[in-house]
Amino acid sequence: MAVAGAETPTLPVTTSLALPWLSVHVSAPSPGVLARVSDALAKYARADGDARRDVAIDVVPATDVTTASARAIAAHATVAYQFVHGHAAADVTTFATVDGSLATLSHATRQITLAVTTEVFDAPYSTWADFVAAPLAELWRDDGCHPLHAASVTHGRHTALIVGASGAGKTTTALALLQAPDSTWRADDKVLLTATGGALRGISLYRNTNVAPATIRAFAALQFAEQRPPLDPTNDKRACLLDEVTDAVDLRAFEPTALIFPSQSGTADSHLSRMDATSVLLRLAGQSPMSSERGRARAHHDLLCRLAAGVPAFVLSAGTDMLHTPAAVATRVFRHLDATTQR
Amino acid sequence: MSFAPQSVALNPDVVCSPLAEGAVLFDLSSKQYYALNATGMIVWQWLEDGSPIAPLEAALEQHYPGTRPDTFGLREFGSRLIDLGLAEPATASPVAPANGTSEAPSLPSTWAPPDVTPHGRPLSKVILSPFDPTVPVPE
Repeated sequence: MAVAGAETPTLPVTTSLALPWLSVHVSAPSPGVLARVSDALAKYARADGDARRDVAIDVVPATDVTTASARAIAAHATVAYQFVHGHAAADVTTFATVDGSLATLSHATRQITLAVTTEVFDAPYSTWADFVAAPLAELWRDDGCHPLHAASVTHGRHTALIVGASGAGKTTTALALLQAPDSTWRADDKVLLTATGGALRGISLYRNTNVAPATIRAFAALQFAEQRPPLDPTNDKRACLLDEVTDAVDLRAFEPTALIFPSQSGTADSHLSRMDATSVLLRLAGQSPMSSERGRARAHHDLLCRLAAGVPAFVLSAGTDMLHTPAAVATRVFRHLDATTQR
Repeated sequence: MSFAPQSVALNPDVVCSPLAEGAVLFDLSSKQYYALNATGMIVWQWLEDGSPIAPLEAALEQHYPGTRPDTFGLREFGSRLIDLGLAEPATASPVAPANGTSEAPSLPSTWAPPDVTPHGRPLSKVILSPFDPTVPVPE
C-alpha cells in the first residue's frame, strides 16, 4: 500500500544505440519519451566493424529556466534549420525549438541534454528528428566527421561517391551502377566523411533511401515501393530501406576512389568527363553543410580540399540509357574508371 | 581604390588552399568561396608571409625583363582583395620576415595578371536540416 503523500520515485528508462562511429546512450524520464528519441535515431545506419565513441543523451522535462533560455537562443540564433535554431560554439552548442525545448551539447563531456516541453513531445516526427540531429551533427563534426549529400557504390577496386543535390540523380545513378556484377550499395543520400586516423573514409549516415516514381518504374527491384505513400504532400518520393531493395548492401566504412557528379544530359547515351579540383571543391562545398563554429568549419573545409585534390572526379552526363540499359551504363562507367585511374 | 605597396593586411578569417590549377580562398566568416588563379596564389602566399610587396615587384621585373611593371597587375589585385573584404589597407608597415630577407617565389614562364573570383553566393546559413544542404522553400 502506498504511503499517503509519498511519491513513487520514477526511475529513468535507458537504451543504447549504435550509430555511425558513435555509441549513443539515452536516458529519458518515461518510456514514451524514450520511444520518441529512439524513433528519431532509428533512421541512422548501424553497421559493425568500426570503432565508436560514446555520447550520452539525457532527456529531462523543460523548466522555466530552460524554456526562457531556449526562446532567447531562438531569437538570436546563428544557425537556422527548418525546425530548430541555435548557436554552435567550441565548448557548448545549443539548439532550441520555437515552443521552448532546449538541446545543449557539452563538447568536453560529450553529453547532450534535451529539455523538452509537452508541445515538442506532441510535435511531428520531423521536428523531433531535427531536435535530436542538430546537436549530434555538431558532435560528429567535432569528431572530424562531416556530412556530404552523396550515395556510394563499390565495384571491384572502385568505390564511387555519387554527389549531388536532391533530384540530381544520385539514387538513380547508384541503382544503375549496382547492375554491374558483384556491386555493393554502400550509402544513399547522406554520407559522413572523415580523415581521422589517416585515410579518407566515408560511411552511410542512414539506413534508408527515398526513391522517385520514375526511378521506381525503371528498376524492377523497387516495384514494391509503388504501394508506399509519398513522403509528404510536396515530395512524391517513397521511403524504403536499402536492404529492402537488394541484398548487396554494405553499410560499413569505405574509402572513396572516385567522385561522380550526376547531371541529366537529355541525350540517349551517358558519358563521363573529368573535372578539375577547384570545380570539385566548390561543388562538394555546396553539398556539405558546414558548422558555423570556425574551428569545425576550417576542419571541414580542409577535409573537402583533401577529397577534391586526392580523388579523381567526373561529371556523369546521364542519358536515357541510365533507365533503359543501366547494366551497360554501369559497365562503361567502371571501365572508364579503370582506364583513367590506373594504379 | 588603389593600394600602395606595403599597405595590405590579409583577412585572418580567410583560408587559402592550394589546388592544382591555383588555389581556393574560403572566408570562414561569410562562408564565401573564391577561386585564385596560379599567379593570384603566388601573390597571396607572398602577402601571407608578411612580405612587403616591393620585393615581389622587383623579382617580377627581374624575371620578366622587358615587361612593363604596370602590367603585372599587383596593384589591381590588391585593390580587388580589399574590395572583396579579403584584405584591408594596413595601418602600419608589414613586419619583415624573421630571417631578414624575402625569398623570391618560384615563378611561371609567363606572368598572367593575378585574379580572384567569387564563386556564386556564400554557402547558405539557412538550410533544411543539420545534414541536408537544401535551402528551405519560402512559403
